[in-house]
Amino acid sequence: MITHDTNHIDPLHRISAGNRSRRPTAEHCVHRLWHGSLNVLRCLAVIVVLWQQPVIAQEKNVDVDLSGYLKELGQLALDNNLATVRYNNIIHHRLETDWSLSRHFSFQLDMRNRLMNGYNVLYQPGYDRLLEKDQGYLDLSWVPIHTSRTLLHTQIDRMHLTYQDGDYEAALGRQRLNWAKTFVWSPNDLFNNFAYLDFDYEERPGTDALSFQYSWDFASSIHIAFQFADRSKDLVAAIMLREHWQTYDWQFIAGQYHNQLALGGGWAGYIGDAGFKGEIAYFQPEAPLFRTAGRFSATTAFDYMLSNGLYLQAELLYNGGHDTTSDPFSSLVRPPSADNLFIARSGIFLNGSYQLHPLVSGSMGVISSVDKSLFIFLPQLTFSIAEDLDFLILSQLLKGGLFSDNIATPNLLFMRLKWSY
Amino acid sequence: MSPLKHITFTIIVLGLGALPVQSQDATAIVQKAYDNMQGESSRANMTMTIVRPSWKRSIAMKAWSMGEDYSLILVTAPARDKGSAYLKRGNEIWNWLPNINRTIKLPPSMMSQSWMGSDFSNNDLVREASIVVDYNHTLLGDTTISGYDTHKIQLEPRATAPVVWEKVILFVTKDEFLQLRAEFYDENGKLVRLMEGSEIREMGGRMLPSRMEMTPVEEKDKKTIIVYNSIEFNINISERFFSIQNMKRLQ
Repeated sequence: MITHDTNHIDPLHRISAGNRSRRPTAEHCVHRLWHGSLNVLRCLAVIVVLWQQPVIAQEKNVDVDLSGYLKELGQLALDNNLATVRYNNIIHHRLETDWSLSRHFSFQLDMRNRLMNGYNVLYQPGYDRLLEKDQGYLDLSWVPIHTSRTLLHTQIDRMHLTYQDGDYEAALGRQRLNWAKTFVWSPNDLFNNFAYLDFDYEERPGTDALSFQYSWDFASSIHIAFQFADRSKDLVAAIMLREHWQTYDWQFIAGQYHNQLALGGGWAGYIGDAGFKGEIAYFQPEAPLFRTAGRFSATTAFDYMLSNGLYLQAELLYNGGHDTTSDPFSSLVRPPSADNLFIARSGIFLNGSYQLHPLVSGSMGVISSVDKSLFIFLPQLTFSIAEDLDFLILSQLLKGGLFSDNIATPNLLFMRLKWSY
Repeated sequence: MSPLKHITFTIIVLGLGALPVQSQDATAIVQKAYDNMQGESSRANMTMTIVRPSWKRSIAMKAWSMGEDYSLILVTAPARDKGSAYLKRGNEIWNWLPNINRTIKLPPSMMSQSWMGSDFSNNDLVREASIVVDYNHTLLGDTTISGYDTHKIQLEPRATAPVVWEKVILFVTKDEFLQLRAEFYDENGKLVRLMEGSEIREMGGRMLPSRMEMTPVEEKDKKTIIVYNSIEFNINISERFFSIQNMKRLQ
């Protein structure tokens, strides 16, 4: 049985607002506290800023930018005979705060709060413990409310201090380290791989790390990152070199990845007017003394927009680290590891997107495999209802022999209303 | 993905000008109107609004450019898209997505599309030089537009020019060489689109129309409006400004 944490990728742009010119003053805030949690949070931030100004804002005023969204997501899970119908509901609030502390220092803290009801809360034993367990080094995940019908999950998924001086940048804390080049599967993404089907987690998880970056040209840089871990086998430390050559962005990575030596690279460039991207990585177990054979993963991807506006994407995966013993479904909805990206040894992704109307866009995608009988169909429609209000209707249909024997409700239908601020 | 947003990287300046010229030759007038809207570099703050009978949507952005090869656009509104940025160097395009901390390289084919369902096409926006190089120019006479004395000039495409219009009638003010009005005719000689500049004021040391409206003539209740809140020319900027790492640092 699949326990969808209800999500899928939609690499939208940053959800952000916080109009600085209209930020409330502290006095104003007192009168407006009753206006709701958003204003309460804004006011708190303003008060904190005003309070701290004499202490930490010698160079300039501390500036905080608040933004986020409120989403209502409904999920229907159906079996193939439409005899079983399960419903899950999530009311999801995200708050993003960007603090400009001084000329060189900034701080980011983002929080997601999800109020859940429905089948998973009612009938999934241990669902609260699953959510409460933070996958990172820091424990920043809580379930403050858990009744038989309702569960509130709160998580801080960004919390880092950034120092930036010219071409140098360093960050400490929970941050997103995104080393991917392709669309769906990313062997180079050692720190922050993500589950493509987890579409509702638009920002994707962060990692607890120390990172450093130096840039010396418009697309040339070196990145060094160290992910904190309690156990050495969870440790990830890597270096990446990025360079631009002949209209191609190149990257090379090397590092330690979960007791393995990782080496790889990726590219993004053009063949004619089409985009051409790819990643490859080799993982060599370090013990016992390099005597175990390594394995490699590779992806290549293309994208092209036809003259009628139809945008096409295709991606192929060879997943050398495919683990035949693992639960095939957990890796569909939870972040996979860079050395085992999919539930099969091979993966195919095809997608077409089209702007049906200036306010309506649609897409149809399919994920499949050469070596396993699986087809995941991903139709979706997005409507712009108002300037900051969007409605999404999306389906995930899991077909093929791999799913038919194992999943009670392989047909998922999602409807989402999202207000961005 | 939300790839169907096509950002155009050339700052949209369809009617500017400040330098008086002596020549009244039609091509020279068009050349002046074109030259005067150019700067070696520029920085603009603008809002584009798409107006339809039952709805409208706006996008606000800051844009930097240097020559024809370098541009960078930062979206400042709506909230959904705030902070995303687009970088263009030559024919290469990158898109910065702040919420996932990632830069995505976009295919060049995405540039050949119309822009976000607006009434401006990319040709309107990218190939401004087109009004000089793609057409033969004929001075038709003088007329008054919104109280301004203007030259009325007919533009007919050269045989090999990649132009969809049968002809364009351009109205350029006599004193400041501003393009106040452009009429676009299709292959049947029918007026299909109208571009009008208005709200002329000083920006960046030049008198410029700060508001541009593009109207499909057959559909009077539809239009696209671009309003410049500010624009500066020949700013202190270098090629290194147009970098992948700078997309995430701009505010």
